[in-house]
Amino acid sequence: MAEYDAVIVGSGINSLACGALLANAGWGVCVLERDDRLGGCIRTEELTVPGYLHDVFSAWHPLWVGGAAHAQLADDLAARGLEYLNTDLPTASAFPDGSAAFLLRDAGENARELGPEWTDVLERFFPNADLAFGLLGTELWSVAGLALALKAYRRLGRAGAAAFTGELLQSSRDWLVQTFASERAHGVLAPWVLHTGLGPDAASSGFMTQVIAVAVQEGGMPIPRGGGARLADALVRLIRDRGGTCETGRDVERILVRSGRAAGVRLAGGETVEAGRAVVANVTPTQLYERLLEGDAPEAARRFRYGRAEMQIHFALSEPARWDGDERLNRTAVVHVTPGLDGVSRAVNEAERGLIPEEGTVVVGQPLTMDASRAPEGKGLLWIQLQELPSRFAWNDDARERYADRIQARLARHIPNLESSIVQRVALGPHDLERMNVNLRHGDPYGGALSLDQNFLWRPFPGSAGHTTPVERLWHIGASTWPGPGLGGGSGTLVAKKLLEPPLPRRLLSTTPIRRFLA
Amino acid sequence: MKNRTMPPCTVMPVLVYPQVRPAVDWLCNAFGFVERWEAKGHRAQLLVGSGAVVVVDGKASGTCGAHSIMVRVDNVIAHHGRALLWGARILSPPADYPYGERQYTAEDPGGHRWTFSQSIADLAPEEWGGTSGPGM
Repeated sequence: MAEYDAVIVGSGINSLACGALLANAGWGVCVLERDDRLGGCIRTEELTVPGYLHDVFSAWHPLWVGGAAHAQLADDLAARGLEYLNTDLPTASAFPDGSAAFLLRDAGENARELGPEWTDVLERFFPNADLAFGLLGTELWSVAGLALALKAYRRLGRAGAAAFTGELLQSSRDWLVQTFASERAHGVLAPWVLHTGLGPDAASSGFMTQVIAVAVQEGGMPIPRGGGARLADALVRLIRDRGGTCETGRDVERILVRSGRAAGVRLAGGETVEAGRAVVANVTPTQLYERLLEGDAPEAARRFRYGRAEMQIHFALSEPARWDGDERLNRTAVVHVTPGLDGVSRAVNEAERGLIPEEGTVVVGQPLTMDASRAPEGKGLLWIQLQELPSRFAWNDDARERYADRIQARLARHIPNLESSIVQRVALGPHDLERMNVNLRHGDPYGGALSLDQNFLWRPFPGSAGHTTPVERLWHIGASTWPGPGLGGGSGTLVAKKLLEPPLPRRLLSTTPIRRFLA
Repeated sequence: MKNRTMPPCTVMPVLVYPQVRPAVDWLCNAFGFVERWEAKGHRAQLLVGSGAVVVVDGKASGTCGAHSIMVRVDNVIAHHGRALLWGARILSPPADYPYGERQYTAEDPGGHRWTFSQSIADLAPEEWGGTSGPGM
């Protein structure tokens, strides 16, 4: 029977970020993964043919590179082989008429691409960027969350703070149409809401569109040299170098609770691992409350809803993809093939109604534009993501291949040499995703629907927010918890911070509003 | 689900005529079909033994010159997904209609049109503005 300070269930980005931060602070950390490799949805494999390195699920690291965990761990990870590559051509949309629009790294160039309104957007955004990014990196149910709200209130006044909150709730459609005259600008920004698990008509998707647009301009589209898994490798190495343990093939089947406190875990097979200070579970509410914890799941956990399903398609090509139209598409990291804002809106709506979308958004990732080491010299590789699929559909291998055929035919209209250069195609449907990772419920890559009632203060559900659980010393992290999905390590970082911070009275005294009051 | 508007059969041809009323009268007189209901001159449903045919006004229905086959199914959403994945050309996506049916129309590789229909409410023709005939 092993004993650690913290036992972390699951080895996704939030687990590894949390584990690395705790291990750096001297905690004894144990990460337990049921799969045969560490990293959760960060996985790099020669999935098609040898020599081609595919990021099987997640691929792009702007949230991580811009996030709090990276700020603290960058040097430690660089010392363990992690190197980030970036681009001046982060993203574009390719439209059915063969034209394209770009979001670039320079404010002036973006004003030319999107329209002069972009300059106004930046002028409005930057003075309050700390509030916007702060929101996404702050524990909302906390003194820090309160402090952030007070900061907004002091800076913007009551009316201004209310306006800021109102803008926070705006849909992407409303924000785009109100802000930009150009439909091409709508078309290059709208598909990005899909990467937050939202659709362009969802509450708060306007705020997310704005945050992503600014983040892409400022941060680009970084990826690790050699594959996304190099990030997981470096984090694991750091945890081990600090005396921690990361183990695969260790299926946690029960969280042990003694006197109302989480005391460790029991593995399938009966072995137990004791946790002296915390158990951190990086799973969906379904896994946490219906499997890992004994007793009846709270009603809110049973009612937790999952979002749309996703599919990945990986192409190994005998030569680089050559796009029709704008030559810069060949060098762009992430190209959305889309009819534009209405096309995204329609496909999302179709998927939510259980329909297979007729013209879904095709996310075409081209990691070779930054990292030539991902394929043999002179070859091509594409990473395709389709995020507008119905979860209520009888997905099977046949349906998956037929949908992949459909997407391939659409792509071939933009990339004329695609079909003649395919060496191998591997598609992963919603049913494959759930089989490969139990937390990708019904093929939802984002750990649960992000509708307003399951987001912000209410993620995953009212009464459980703030990463606490009904069990003392048991913490809930991962995409199902605030600040939601995305490769940022946000929830793991917030929980590590909470575990490492001094006791409450000292903390209260040090917060700005109370310091001011005392002064 | 049962919908009184729909006949007791699964498959029915949808035939296009320049004018619905004269066509219905002719079919009933000449072939002995029985009118089930009629919808303001643009559509009618006729019983043929235990089966049925639908008569539509080509101009009003926007399907001028093209007959189609209507098929009742249990789950039109799932049916649409499968048809789409097999390459059916979707002419109109699934939508709910006031006569209590959820339908989509697709064209098969042979150029034939099919409307798949799922009952979602049990309505008499009068409830959506139709007029019942002797076959109702």
